[in-house]
Amino acid sequence: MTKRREQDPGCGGEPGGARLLELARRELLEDLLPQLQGEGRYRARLVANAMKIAARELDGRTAGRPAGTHRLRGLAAAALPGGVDLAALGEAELAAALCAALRSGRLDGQRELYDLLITLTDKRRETIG
Amino acid sequence: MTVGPAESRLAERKPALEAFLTAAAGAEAVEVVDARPLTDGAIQENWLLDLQVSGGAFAGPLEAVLRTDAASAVAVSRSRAEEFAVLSVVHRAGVTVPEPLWLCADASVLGRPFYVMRRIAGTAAPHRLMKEPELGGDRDALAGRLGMELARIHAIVPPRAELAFLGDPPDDPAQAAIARYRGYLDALGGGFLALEWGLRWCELHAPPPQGPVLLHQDFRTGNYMVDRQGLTGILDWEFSDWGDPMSDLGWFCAACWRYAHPELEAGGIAPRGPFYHGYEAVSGRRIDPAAVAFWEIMAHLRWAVIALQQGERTLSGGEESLELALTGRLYPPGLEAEILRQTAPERWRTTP
Repeated sequence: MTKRREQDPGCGGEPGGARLLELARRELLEDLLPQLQGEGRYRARLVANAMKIAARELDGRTAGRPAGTHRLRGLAAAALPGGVDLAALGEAELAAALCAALRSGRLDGQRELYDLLITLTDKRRETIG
Repeated sequence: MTVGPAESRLAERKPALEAFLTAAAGAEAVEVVDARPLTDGAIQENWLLDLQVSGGAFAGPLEAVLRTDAASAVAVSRSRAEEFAVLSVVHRAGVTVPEPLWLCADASVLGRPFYVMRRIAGTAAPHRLMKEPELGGDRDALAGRLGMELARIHAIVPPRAELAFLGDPPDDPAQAAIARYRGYLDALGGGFLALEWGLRWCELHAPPPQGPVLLHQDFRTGNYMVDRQGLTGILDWEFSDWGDPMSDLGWFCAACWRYAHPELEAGGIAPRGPFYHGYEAVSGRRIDPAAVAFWEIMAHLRWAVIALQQGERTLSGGEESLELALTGRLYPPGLEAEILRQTAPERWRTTP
């Protein structure tokens, strides 16, 4: 009980979005899906899949793109030409600057960036897995 | 006439369709006995037609497929008229495809251009191929046959007057594709670091170009039909273009198109051996495994970009399609992981 509270901060008897999605998904898969056939079953599975991903995001157990931003900032400091005010860059601008650096060859085969990309990709895979 | 709940377009236009078919078939009359929609594609719409032809060379019952643009069509692939032209060229070259019958470029008949081809038997569904070992006949033989078919497609080389709409082949198909994907990523808002990493690796490690030849460009499990004996036809010619023959081989073998059988590296149906052997026997070309491996990385990049574009259609594009939204969300991370796996720092020739 305590554990679920932590994952889903529903408010005293009012279940939160993640819990609602979890229950809706269970009802869809366990009660409704067996009544469907062919194309209907396929579409119901798509719906269940979307609900699973949305519930995980709401749950906050796994982080998406924002994770690792500080490490990206560190890499950018090393890779980008001096004079760029990194502190002023938002996450999207930072990624864009690093993409430009990649295209221009300033990050060719760079181990630190590679390891970070593996970590970021794995995190996104956890959310959808 | 069986008509799907959301689709009465064909029913409303039945007289116009029958008049077109009668003239096209050189018949006295053509009756559309039945018309059933196939599962909607994201881009195309296919209908199964049961025709009864009176008089002329096609007299008798005729089972056909009508292919037209879907309601939500986007201008990313070839037009139906161009697809029909490609299908006609490869059919004449002896590639196993549904026989193209008639093209209707006049949009007033069905509201959009369409063409009709002879129906072929079997299924293309990957999940059935993965689960039913007896489907497609002997799998090594099927892979060998697909290699031979691909070689026949690649025997068609530019220039071809009927395919003038394809334009001039790129001098360097790999570098042209890399530049195109970068443009697509920029249009999507940029910041796709793992894909940029892979594109940069490909830019530095591309093998010398081969060809140019006619490519299918979506030659993979899911786009050919089989019955219990073997191959019945190769489908979905909407992405055909001139290019490097090794790119079709890489697309077919890429891990992302092996479905439930990643260990069967030729499309999830067989080892590479029989597929390569069939291709080499007919083409007379020697396959360089390193070139195919390169094009497999390019395949993952291409599929990732396409998946993101499909997802984007539900965002800025405003389309209400859960399937497209999930495509954009589900596929890119796994594809990126595979791209990264194949482009680790020790595989860069110019590691700093």
